[in-house]
Amino acid sequence: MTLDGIGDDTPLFERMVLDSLHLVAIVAELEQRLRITITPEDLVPDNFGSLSRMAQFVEAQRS
Amino acid sequence: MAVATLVGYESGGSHMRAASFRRVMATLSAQLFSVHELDIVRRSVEEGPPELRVDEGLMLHRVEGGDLVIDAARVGSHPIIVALARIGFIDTLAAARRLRRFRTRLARGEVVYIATKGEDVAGWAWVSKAGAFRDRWIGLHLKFAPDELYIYDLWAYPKYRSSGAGALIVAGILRDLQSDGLVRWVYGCIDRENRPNQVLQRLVFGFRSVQSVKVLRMVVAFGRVLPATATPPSGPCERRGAVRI
Repeated sequence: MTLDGIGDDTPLFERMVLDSLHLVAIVAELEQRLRITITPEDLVPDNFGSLSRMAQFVEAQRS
Repeated sequence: MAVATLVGYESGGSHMRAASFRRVMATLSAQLFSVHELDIVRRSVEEGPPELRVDEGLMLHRVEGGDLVIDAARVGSHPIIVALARIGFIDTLAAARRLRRFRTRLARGEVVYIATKGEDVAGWAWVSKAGAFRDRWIGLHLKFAPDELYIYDLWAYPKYRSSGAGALIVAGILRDLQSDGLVRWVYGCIDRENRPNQVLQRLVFGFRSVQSVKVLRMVVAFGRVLPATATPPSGPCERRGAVRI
């Protein structure tokens, strides 16, 4: 996966930068490394639709 | 020293055998009895699917009969069946059983969307417009309004699971429904433990939970699914009962 041309607010799914399997791996990695719990209800574009939204979601989970 | 080593080895071997036995028993019991929490999700049809990029060569077909359904019935199934399918006889039985099930669904007026790549069937999903639907796969009785529709048995062959086949199928269904303009809501059901499907339906397509139901699967022992939620909260699942799968 290349990061060329991907900004903080690039929509990751509409441009298919990530597919669902990539995201499953990312979710598992976030849970394991940051010790947060991500429920199915958290899986919404508002939380994972772009890199900046992911960062905000993680920050909120850790605070 | 040699004796101590031997004793230690045997003791270690005994522990390893016990651990292996526990693992086998845990796997076996999980196959025999398992509780699953199912999320019934829905999405408005008014908003079209996002534009997605999928592997080159993947094609989507809306099918109401014909040879493609027979081809679909022949491809993979439960891992155990796939393993046993190396024996031609069992493969024939599994394919015949699946084909019978597919033909029953078509006779009920259901439609299947099949993704293909070249000669291969990559995956499928079924669409039911029935007001009352008994999903034998998950073991629940579901009721829908006339402007509601249910997508079920969304499945992709393992080697196509990172190709975008599942996304292509769901996007195709949503696009057709949007252009038909006859349906307002589309429903689906996802096992809470099925992360890839949760991600696909919730994150990529924006499905949201409307109901959660627990079921007890007794797959190997009796081939039955028993809804285990005492009182399902209001939603499409209104009636419970054992379903033979």
